[in-house]
Amino acid sequence: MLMEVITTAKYGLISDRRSYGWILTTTIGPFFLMAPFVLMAESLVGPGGRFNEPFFEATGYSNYLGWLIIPLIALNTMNTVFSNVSQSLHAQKTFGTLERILVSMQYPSSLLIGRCISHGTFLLWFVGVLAGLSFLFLGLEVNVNAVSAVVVIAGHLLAVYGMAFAFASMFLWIEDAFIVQTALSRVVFGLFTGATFPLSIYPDWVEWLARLIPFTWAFDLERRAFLLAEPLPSIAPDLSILLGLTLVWWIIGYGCFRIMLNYSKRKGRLGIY
Amino acid sequence: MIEIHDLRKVFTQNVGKTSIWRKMIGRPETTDLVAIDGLSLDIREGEFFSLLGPNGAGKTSTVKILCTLLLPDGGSCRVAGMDVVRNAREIRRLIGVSIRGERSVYWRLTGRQNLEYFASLYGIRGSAARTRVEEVSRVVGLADRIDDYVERYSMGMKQRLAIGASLVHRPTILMLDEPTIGLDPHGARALRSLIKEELCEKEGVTVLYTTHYMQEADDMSDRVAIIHHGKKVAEGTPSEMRARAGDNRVVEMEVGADGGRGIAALNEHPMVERVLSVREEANTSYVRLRTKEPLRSVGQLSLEERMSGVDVRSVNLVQPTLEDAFISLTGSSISDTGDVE
Repeated sequence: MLMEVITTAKYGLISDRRSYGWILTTTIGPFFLMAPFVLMAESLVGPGGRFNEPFFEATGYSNYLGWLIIPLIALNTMNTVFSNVSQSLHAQKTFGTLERILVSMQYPSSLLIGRCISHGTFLLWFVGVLAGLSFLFLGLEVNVNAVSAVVVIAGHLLAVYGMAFAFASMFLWIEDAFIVQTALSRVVFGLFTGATFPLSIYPDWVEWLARLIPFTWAFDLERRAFLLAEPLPSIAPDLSILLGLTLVWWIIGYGCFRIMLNYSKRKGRLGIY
Repeated sequence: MIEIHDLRKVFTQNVGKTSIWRKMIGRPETTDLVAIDGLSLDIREGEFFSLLGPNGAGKTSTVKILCTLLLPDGGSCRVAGMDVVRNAREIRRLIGVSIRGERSVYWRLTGRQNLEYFASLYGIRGSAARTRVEEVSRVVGLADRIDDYVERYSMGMKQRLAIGASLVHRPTILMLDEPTIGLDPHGARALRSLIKEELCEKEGVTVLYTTHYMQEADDMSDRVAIIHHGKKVAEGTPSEMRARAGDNRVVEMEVGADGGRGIAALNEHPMVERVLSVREEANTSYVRLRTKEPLRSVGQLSLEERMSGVDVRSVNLVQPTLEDAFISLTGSSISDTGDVE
């Protein structure tokens, strides 16, 4: 299975390498989506803003720009992962290569894991550019504990790919699952994980549900690692919850993929060309 | 090598427009479409076996079940003695498959990268992969274009590459679903020659081939099964199948164009069982028909037609074709696009 994953990742990269336009689009685009949001926040919670003090009371962070930009970069990164992994499955399904590749593979899940890995190499570029632009144009300031940051990012990415697995599986079930994926990834994860608003402004039950989403923990941990430079032992309890939820999502994602693959084989929906 | 027993597959299709609300509550109006209805086949080792039938007959569904892409609803399928549901992984190792040929390869990769990719998925890597890719590219006639991007290939070249990709791991069974669709006559001939001579005869690969082209099945197959509406109508060698149309019972008549009156009269003729096909050219109709009894001479038919005012120019007893057999057996013919006429 490992070799199937590596092979898929390798040829995914070779194929993606042929055009660079999408790299520019998916890098500059999210920045311009993010920038107005940050500028608006600056006028509301920045020095002299109406919500400056309430914001500090709710979050405990004085670095309001960092508080917002760090998870926004992560949120945009998540969206590009979900889109890419789902799109790779959807495109193969509509083009006709999905059936062929599934006949050739011994372990169908290698296809998605391989795509995750090939896309992962692009993430370095994506995050790097978004962070660089944020430093240059949005005045982002950080106070990082490198070890904590690396570990938290790794845990976050694992959770993202676990959920990407589940999202991609939807495309085996629903012909056009992009609307569901967009609603979840942009609305639910954007609004109800503490990425853009403090969870404390929501009713208790919303906060309770939000705590079941691994990204709620990931965003909080990233803020603590990147803005407060908290060392690893300090974030370890919450980190273990993140990793536990990540494991749960990988199991759910893999289970969904198996179930949906069988469903597609039963219904004859592996190809819609 | 391939045993199919009482195979059944039913698809559920939505009827008409389905509202989003009906989809959401999971109750769209549906109807059952029986794709395969009690199909049984036994394909022997080293055999070139064709599944012949119009679009929607159940050919592709049968192949997809055999290559583990579709789950059957009933019956059993065994490939090399293994069950397609329980031993799917082992079966995938043994078979080479080309479904929707030209669209089953990656157009953004080169031909070589495609072959190396598929070889690698079957555990062939390094120098072994390079050697095998060279061999396969020669066999499928792409050696001089193997480093070009597939998007620059002609359709025939893409089809050949797709077949090459299904050969890289030296499968003992090859399943090809309508590989010559969309190819020009020259490309189709080259592909048929590759499959029949290079793969089946030289390498001894067992080939399951689906097509709606009668002549193709007639020329290439050791045995043929005609399927229609998911059911097997007949099975045998091409000559056995042709014999079903009846020796000395198929006649081709050249009739002067008279607005179809002559053809209508032929349909009513007491000696005629069925008009098999009509081909119009300029002011002449070429009518192929099957008589009720074997003919001792064609003179009687010709004379009687002339007497009834039909302008019969010539009558010839001809060898029945697979198409004649198909029409005799199913009562319908297949158009060039594969649809039932």
